[in-house]
Amino acid sequence: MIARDTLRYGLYVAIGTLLLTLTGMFGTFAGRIVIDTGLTLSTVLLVLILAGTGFLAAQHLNRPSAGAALLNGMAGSLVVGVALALLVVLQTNVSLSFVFPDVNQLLGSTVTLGQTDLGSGLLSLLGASAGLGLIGGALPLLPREARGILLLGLGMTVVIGLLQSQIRNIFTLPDALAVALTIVAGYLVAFLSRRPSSVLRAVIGALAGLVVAVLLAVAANSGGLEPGGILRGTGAMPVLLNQDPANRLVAYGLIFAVIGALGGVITVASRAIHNGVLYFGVSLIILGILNAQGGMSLTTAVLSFILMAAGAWIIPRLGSPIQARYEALPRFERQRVQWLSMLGVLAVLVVAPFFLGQYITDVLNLVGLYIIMGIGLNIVVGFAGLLDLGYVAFFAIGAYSIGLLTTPSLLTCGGVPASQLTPETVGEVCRVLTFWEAWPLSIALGAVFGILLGIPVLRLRGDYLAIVTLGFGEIIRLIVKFDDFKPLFGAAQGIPNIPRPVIDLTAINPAWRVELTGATGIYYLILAGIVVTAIIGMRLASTRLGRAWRAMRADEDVAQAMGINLTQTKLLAFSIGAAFAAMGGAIAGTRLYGAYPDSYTLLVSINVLSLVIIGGLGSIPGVIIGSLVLIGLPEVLRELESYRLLAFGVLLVVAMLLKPEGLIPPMPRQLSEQAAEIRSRGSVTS
Amino acid sequence: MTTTDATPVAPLGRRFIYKPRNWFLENTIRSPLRLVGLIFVVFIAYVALNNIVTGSYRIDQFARQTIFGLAQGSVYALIALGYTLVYGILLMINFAHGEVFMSGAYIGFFVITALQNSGFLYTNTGIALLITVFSGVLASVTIAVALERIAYRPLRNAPRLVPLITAIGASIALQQLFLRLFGVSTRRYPDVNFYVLPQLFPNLECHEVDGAEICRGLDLISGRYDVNVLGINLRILPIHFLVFFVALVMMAALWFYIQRTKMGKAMRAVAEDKSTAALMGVNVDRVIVTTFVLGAALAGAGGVLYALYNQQVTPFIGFIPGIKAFTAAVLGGIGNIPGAMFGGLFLGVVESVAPSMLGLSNQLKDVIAFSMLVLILIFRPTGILGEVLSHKKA
Repeated sequence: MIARDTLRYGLYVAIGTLLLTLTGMFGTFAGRIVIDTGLTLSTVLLVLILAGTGFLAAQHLNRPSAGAALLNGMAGSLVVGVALALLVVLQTNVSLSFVFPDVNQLLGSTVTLGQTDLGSGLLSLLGASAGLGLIGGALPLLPREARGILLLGLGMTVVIGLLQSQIRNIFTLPDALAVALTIVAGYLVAFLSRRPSSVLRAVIGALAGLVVAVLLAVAANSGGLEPGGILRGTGAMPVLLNQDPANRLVAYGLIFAVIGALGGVITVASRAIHNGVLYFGVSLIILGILNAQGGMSLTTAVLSFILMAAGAWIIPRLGSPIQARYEALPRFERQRVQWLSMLGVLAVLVVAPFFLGQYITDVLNLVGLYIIMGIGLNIVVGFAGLLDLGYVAFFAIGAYSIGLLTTPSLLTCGGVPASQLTPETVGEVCRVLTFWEAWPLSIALGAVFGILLGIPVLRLRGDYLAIVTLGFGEIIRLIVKFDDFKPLFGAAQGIPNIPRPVIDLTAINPAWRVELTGATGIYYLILAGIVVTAIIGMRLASTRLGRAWRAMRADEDVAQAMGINLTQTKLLAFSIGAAFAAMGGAIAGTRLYGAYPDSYTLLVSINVLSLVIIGGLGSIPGVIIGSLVLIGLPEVLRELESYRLLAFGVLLVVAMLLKPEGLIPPMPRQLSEQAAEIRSRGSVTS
Repeated sequence: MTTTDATPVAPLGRRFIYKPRNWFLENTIRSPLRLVGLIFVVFIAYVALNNIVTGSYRIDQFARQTIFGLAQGSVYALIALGYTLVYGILLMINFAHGEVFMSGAYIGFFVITALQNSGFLYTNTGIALLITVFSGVLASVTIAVALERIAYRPLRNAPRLVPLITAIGASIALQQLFLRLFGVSTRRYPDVNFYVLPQLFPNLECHEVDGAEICRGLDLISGRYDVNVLGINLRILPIHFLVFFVALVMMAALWFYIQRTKMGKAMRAVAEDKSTAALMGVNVDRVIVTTFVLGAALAGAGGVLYALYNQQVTPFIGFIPGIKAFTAAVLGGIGNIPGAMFGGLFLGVVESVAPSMLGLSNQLKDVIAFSMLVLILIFRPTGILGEVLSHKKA
């Protein structure tokens, strides 16, 4: 029979759906095409809501019979359908536009499946909810794995459809197939070779990659390496590949060798890396198909569903024995595998901007800046347990200091306001630093400010600390925005015209002078920043200082009793965190060609804190995933601008409810073998 | 954050309490930070005195700004009470409390507009205003209870930062939901004239009606009167006093509720020790919901009052007052109910008075507010009146 929970869930979803409908969501999203045959985002959402309710209702039954599951699914979904129907009826009789100005005309929209007549509209709405409820109710009857495969396939198809305009030109089909083939070649050869070490597997994989490269070149005949050939990408061509043919040949071979090596290494890697690389390969092929089809046609949709579902079926099956093999490895070997796969990932990241194009690279830059800040805040909050809500202050300090040092300002012009100087005299009076000279200074300044702001709050705990740091963040922003300081900080206009860094090696070779222009130049700066901060962050965790932080986080009094100098430890956490933020801030300053007070609001601090906690407090991979999800995803979906922040807020709540420990919680620290031995001996004797 | 749950073991014999031998030395020479703070305070006092003596800051400015500050401060206090109540019991910053306040003001707008359109607002102004306040309270309470049920209750045993993030998420989501639901345009409260006490104020608001002069008394909501008190020329807005007194009455009611009723006692018990209170037969869930309801009711009423004198309503009006109110709660000593009231009023007055008294730009209002918070926490790390938390939690 119909369970009470069914009606309850139906009611909850109905309330949420009504609210969203009243915001005019179905109207806004009707313009966004997911699949070219006319499937809009609006329809996808309606299907998701109705089938989802059916699934939720059936899922919560205690071992239902097939009939009960279907019945409850249908009932739950019908509750939502009836609520929507009532709203449609209400709207046809009463004008809602004073209170809810954005709600669209529901009759004739997606909600009534396009029917403009009230009777048939309601009928089709209720019919659709009954049908979709049945489908949702049937889902729990499927085996768990089949459900996962189905959902992953459908989800991937919808996501790719949503993003089609941005990702359509990333990868051509021949390129995708070449990369996939190389991964598979490296994987198979390494898989079949019996138990060589990870390094050997990498070498074997690389050789296999080279063989594939040669075979492909031969198959594509002598013109295969010309522009238009394999691995051309669609963005700017890699600089190396633009050079003379010999260089190009080397780069071409190198790329394939690295891909092959990656394929080889993953045969002994952990499940996460192994599955990740293989899913990446499948996604590349789907991107290639998207490119070849020129959009999300029905063929693309079907193919991407089939490919993704096949991947979801086969990849975990391959992964399990490999995980077992990985766990059996000695510890140093595991670490070596990790380093090797990290190198592989890094190699992929280095070539990525040539394929991704300006827009996505720029999104990645933003994500990267948040990763740098996240790693820094992770030290303050995750390691040392000091809740800092004003982290943006140090970011602003980094940006403003780079601005003051690299442009003509009061600081660089010896106290003369730049507005009083003519372009001729600027050069004489002002001694402007280059980015590379100013960068360490601004990092140091960030660290100093970390200590300065840390001193007054040393004795504060928990939430007192939170509100005071929040205050500091606001104070810094208000001071740089203050009109009386306009000659120094430029008030609301900020500091414009911050130059981009220039790598100047003309002393060695007159041709070696590169300005880091565009999104791509900054990309490498940020990538380098991430690598440095991530390595420092990871290594710090296992030092004496890192252990002191964790002890302090667990209990300040006990930590002090164990001989930890709280003042020093806290200030170090603040200043290291601040230095990282200032480093990111300096990059952000040159990225935007300026430092503007309104880019350093409380929302930035909140974003960083959220991504650190969503990712998993104290975990650096968590920070990376957290910023991809919280910063990258909303940025890519910018066209849905009006719902971006709403989704962000809801995501924060839902993510915390489902996974309070974060997406990737830090691994529990392994005891050293000696300590483990002592512990086990102790438990035996006692 | 992990909090240790180790109960402090009572030491055998007399408990050793550290008493500084010389208060002055302890607070100056031996604590350089406090010394710096002290010098700063003296400097500020000097600047303020100098401005007063030289006459660049006048007493009428002071009186006007104090009155405005008290009105603003009582709104802060009403919100701060919600923070402090929830914090006292759950040890959690309810970051979405500013949005609870905002929703009261927003729903109040629709009700008062409906009342205006029906004409009821003009025929029975007092009752209409009461209805508006009540509907604002109702909206806030609904939102707060839903918030507790959805975002906080499932996480009651999670690490402390987790509910903070859901609160931040809920805050952003509520702001955006209101923005999307009710549109981006600023809503404006209607101009209300609420005349009271014609006997006491015989010479106010006099109009010729049908040849006879009728004086309707004091206009509590939209009135502006130039008054001369003790030789000081002042422009007085009765709404400021109204807000202040309504807030005082509500706070007194809250104080009575917590000190004198059974539920109030249960709340104090839960704040002291949740599990023991549960063992004593207190329904902890109900107490927590009641706490949210009380806090939201105060915030909702505060929202409508704020909107009555500020008139502009947007989905973002809750954010800054929310942060200010949390500052106020910390200032007074978090978890401490008189502390929140005092902190709110204090913050409101300082924020209003200090910029011109120190001869600074009004742009630096928030800088002054936060600097004051830092200064006070340097000398009293648990707020002016001290926090009221059980030993276990501190």
